[in-house]
Amino acid sequence: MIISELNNELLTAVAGHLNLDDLKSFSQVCHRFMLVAHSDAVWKESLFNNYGVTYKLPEESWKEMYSKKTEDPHDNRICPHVGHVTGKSLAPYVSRYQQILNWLPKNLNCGTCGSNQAEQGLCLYIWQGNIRLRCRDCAYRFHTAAPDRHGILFRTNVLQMFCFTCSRLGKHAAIPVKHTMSTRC
Amino acid sequence: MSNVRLLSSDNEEFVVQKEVAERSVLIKNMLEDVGETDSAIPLPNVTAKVLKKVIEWCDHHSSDPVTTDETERRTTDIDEWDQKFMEVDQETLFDIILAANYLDIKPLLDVGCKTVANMIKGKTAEEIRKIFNIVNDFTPEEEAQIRKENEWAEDR
Repeated sequence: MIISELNNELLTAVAGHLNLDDLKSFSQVCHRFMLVAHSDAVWKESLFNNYGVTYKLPEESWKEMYSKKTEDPHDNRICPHVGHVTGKSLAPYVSRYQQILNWLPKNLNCGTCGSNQAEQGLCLYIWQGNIRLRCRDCAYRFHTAAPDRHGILFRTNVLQMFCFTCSRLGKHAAIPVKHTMSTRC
Repeated sequence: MSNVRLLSSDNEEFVVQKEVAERSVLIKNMLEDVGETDSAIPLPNVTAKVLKKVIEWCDHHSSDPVTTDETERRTTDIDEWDQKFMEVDQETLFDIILAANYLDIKPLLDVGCKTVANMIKGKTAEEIRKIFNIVNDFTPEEEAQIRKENEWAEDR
C-alpha cells in the first residue's frame, strides 16, 4: 500500500489540508499530484477546513469562493452557519410548510407565543434538530438563550434566510440589523 | 449493551460493542437495515490487521458525540491520542485511510488525511517523492517549464 494507491478523492482530502506553498510543492511531485492540486475540489476542502463554509454560488468556482472568503476573513459576509441547513434536516418541514400554505392565514401562529404572524410573516428557526415555527422575536429570544446557537432564520413569507450571529442574509448583502450582536462568529 | 460481530477480509472475527461499531456509518446503516442479527458482518475490504486498528480508534472515541457539527471549524492540529495512534508505518497509515473511507468514519479519515498532510508540510517536491517513494514522471522539458514558472512567481 503506497500513496499512489489512494484515489483522487482521498488525495484531494489530503491536499485540502495544505497551505499554498505546500500545495505548490505537492503539485510538482508528479503528473497525478499536479492534477489533484489544480482541481477545484481542493478549494472546496480548504474552504471547509479553514472556514467551515460548505457552499458557494452556482456560477462561481470553489477557488473563487475561497479567495472571496480569504480576502474578507473577519467581516463575515460569508456566513458559515447556513451550512447547517441541509435538505435532509428540512425534509420533515417541507410538508408542514405546505400545510401552512394550504391553511393560510389562520395557521400562521407563532409556536412559542401564539401570536398570529399573517402580517409580519412567520419564520422557521433552524438549529440542529430544533426546527420550530416562531415569530421573529421569539426566534431571536431562543437564539440568544444559549451562547453557542448558530441557527438560521428562514422567513417563510419572503423565502429568505437570515443569520442572527453574522447579521447577514443568506446572500452576500448586508442589511441593517435590528439587534446589536456582541459576538462575531 | 449488545455486541456486533465483524468479519475481516482474511476471515478473522471481531466481537465489538454495538456503539463502538456504529462509529462506522456503513455498519450503522447496515445494522439499521438488517435489524437484530446474529450473523457476522463481512467487511471484504478490510484486513484483520487494519480492522483491529480501526476498532481501537472507534473504542477510544466511542464516547465522542456521534453527530459532530458538520460545519464546525476543523482545526489542523490532531489531538495527542490520535497522534500516537497514527505513529505507524506508511503502509498501515494508508490502509487506515482506505478503511476509514470504506467504513465511512469521517473523523478517522480526517485524522489520517491530516497526518499525511503533516508529512508533506514544509517539504520540497523532491523530498515528498523521497518520503512516499513516488516516481518523478515529468519530462525534463516539463520540469524546466515548472522551474521557469516558479522563478517568474518569485520575481513578482
